Amino acid sequence: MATSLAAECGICQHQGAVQQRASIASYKPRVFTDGEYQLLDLLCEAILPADAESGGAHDAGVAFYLDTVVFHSGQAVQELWRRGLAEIDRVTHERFRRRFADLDDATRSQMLSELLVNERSPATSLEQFVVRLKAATIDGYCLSEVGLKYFGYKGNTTLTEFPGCTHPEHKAKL
Amino acid sequence: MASQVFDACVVGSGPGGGIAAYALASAGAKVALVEAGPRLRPGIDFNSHGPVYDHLDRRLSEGRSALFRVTDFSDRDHFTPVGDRPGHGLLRALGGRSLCWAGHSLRFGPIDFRRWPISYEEVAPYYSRAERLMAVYGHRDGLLNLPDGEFLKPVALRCGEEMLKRGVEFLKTKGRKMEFVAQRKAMATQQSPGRVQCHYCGHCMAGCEVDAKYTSANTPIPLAMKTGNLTLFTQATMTRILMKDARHVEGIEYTKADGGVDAIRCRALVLACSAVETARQLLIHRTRAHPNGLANSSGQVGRNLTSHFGVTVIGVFPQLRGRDSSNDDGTDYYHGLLTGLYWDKPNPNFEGTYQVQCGSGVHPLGLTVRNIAGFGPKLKEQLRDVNACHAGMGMQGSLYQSAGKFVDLDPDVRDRYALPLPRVHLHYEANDIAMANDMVATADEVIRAAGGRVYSTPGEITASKLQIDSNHWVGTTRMGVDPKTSVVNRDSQCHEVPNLFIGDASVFPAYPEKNPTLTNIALAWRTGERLAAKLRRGELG
Repeated sequence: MATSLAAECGICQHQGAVQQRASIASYKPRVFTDGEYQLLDLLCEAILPADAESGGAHDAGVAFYLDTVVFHSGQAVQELWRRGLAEIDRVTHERFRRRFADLDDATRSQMLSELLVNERSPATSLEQFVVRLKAATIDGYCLSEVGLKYFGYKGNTTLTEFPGCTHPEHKAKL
Repeated sequence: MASQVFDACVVGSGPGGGIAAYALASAGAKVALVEAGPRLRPGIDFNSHGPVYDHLDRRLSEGRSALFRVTDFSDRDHFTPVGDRPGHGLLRALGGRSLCWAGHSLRFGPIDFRRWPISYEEVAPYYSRAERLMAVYGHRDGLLNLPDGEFLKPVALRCGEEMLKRGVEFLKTKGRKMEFVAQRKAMATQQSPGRVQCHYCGHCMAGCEVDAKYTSANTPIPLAMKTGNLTLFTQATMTRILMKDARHVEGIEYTKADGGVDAIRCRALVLACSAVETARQLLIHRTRAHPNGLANSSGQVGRNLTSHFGVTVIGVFPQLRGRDSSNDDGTDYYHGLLTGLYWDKPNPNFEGTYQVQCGSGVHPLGLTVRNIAGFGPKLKEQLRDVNACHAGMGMQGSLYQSAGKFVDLDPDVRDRYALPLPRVHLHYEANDIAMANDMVATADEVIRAAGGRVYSTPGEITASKLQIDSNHWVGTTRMGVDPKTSVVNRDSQCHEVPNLFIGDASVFPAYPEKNPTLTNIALAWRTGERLAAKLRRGELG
């Protein structure tokens, strides 16, 4: 039974991955306007960006994940997110006379840095929102195919034996 | 009321109730097993294997979590917390919290039983039988106060846990008394009757989809049904205990899913609703003859409440940097155990002791270290790096028993059956704080001895930093020989109501640092057999 489950899991994973990529690319947000969704995607990507090794939050579809989770979380949560994103655009405009989406990469980093300056003890509602956004971005990335690949995740599969640590130097006496 | 009179009615199908029903049915008793929740279907009602994004919308639209965990069925708004943020874990489904437990199966030791009216030697045969039935894996370590059992082959430690082990071994050469051993859990690591062999996907606490992990639902209950002596009532909530007279239970009334009310008659009743709920039920069922609640003239029902509590310290080890990625899933997070602390020589600063569950590895679906400052390429790299190099140490200390920790009834809030909710009172005390401070210092020593550095620690302990284990409550109907200071006798039989028994961990009179479930199961098995013998001898009417 474990063997056939392995086969089932293998097939399921593969088909699932293909479906997921197609649906993320064509996904229409249900909570956020197109502008809010674009801002969300840019913010998530700034938090966890693509690099030579792997995709970032954009490739992973974190904005899709967040719009879906917020969609199912009720009106109060939806309003909180939309207010938070609007506030980010407002302070960005105050600071740089432009919307976040119209800044270059370096300035976006500068803005995000200022938004996260009190991340260890966020006081204002904006600071609290940005901390929440960052945590949600990490969650979404970890659950995505791109994220799992980045972490080198070899789990969620079937083994007949658990190998554990295979490095003799880790077991040597100190 | 139906005319059939069962020999025994067991209320609650969790680890205690499931085994009590099995013991009774195997002994030839006609048993009614009553469970408030439904039977859940592994792989259909909970499934930890599918790609998350693929199933996201469907799961969320059904009100479920993204990971489709069995704990989505956990109760909420079912109790009132008072004081230092007590939790109260409850899962109303066939199997109860044996569906979501991590499987840790540790015997209490001879030193632990000194404060009990029964001895380790009396319980040992039931430990053996339980370990064989549950398919417990482990390594034989020969420790003073953590007896070895009947084990299947153990599960290997990961790199991070090997780091901690080296730290412990080094400290032992300097005279420190402690041990680092592999965990012991109820997962079939080898062929076991009625169970599928574990495939180490690590989703044990999300619900074992293949039944490699022991639950009441996959082992004792099906076996009990095979005897032909078990009648199962699911989605049946006990709403009244029916008394023949002041000293005899006659049966229970229960409410069905459709709101209809029916009753079960029985010669003996076994309550196995878990410590908070069992105490709640006894307190609710006040009568003229039992003004403080059923079987409570001692006043001890709801008292002597204890659980495990603690804090978490995380270390990172530079020796692990750049290691090849590996499959770290295993049998969920904790593969190691730091134990042997203060068994024979108690710490002068506190009573009782603690153990430390140790885990490590990269588990993105439930990433351990997420709270990293900053953003961008550095954040991304550190998330991966720190998690690959870390080991987590989760303290489990025995909570100091005192008058300030207890269960009673909420005078104002009732459930949908108009029954008062339980109130759980928790106030951490000097003993708890001293114990946690010691753990933090010990964890620090172990991590540094292994060549690592402490990545996160609570530092100096205050009550606000302590975390209770919401699933380890025990003690609320304590066992004792004196009816003035205890609720049940050495057979878990209520002193005042001889045909009322307790089949869960409410009966524990004292609590060591070890996880409760193996002892719960061993005792409930023993209680079931002793009850069956009393029924056969006609002692209970």
